[in-house]
Amino acid sequence: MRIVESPRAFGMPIQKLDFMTQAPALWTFDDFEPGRSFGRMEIRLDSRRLALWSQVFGENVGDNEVSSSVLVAAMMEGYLKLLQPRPPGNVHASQVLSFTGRQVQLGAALTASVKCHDKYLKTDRRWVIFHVALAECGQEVMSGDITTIWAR
Amino acid sequence: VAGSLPSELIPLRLTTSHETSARYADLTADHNPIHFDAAFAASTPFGAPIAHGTQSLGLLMLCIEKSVGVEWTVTELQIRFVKPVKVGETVVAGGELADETHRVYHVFVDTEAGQRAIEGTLRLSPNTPT
Repeated sequence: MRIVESPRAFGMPIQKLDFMTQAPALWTFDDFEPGRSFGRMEIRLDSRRLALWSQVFGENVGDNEVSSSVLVAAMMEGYLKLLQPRPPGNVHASQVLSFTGRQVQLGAALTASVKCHDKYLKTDRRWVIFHVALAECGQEVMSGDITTIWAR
Repeated sequence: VAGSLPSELIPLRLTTSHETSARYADLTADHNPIHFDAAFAASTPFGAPIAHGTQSLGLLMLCIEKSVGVEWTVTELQIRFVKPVKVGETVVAGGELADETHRVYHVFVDTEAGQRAIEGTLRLSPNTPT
């Protein structure tokens, strides 16, 4: 099976496509190379999103600045949506988070971007580190390194 | 000017449930059946649905915010997911000041049964809003 990539465009993930069917193909360990980008997408901190967060954590959203806990959830959404489809059985092993101190207001539109930071084989497992960043108006808000054990 | 740092973070609790897992899945677009499907989860080493790991991480972030306030920024939080949390368990996030000079905390999320779910290191710096 030959794999081609769809053109890079804002709001669209970088997808592997099956040459014959043009259906999205599974991301596998062999596809990942340090520095490789997986695109970017917009995540708006709208009332629906904040209501869901409030229902999970039992906290009021507040009137102005958004909790960093909301940003962590947004980071995960970016990571999960930009890297699809993925094999079942991946394990999120560890996480590094870094915040710039920039305050984000309710209703803000964030840009999530994902790239491969590193990959290696260890103890017969496929380890991949993804770097995920959230920015507002071109200014970084936070970033995170997600270390996963990739299933295939 | 940022104030002094507390010796301990204020513990914060969250009881996980099928409802909170469903809401968190909608929030993050993580609809992995390991979090919802009892039959599927029974076929895995976990044996039962597990809560999203970053749900506990989100609780830890709230715990940090409530404890140190907006004068401090999380320069770096390094954690590892030690053990999954079964849906229905209650988790408690907390931390202890490990190095006041370098503003470093040892942070964790434990189940009420005493199992460690998340463990790591937090480094803070005075907030300088942009």
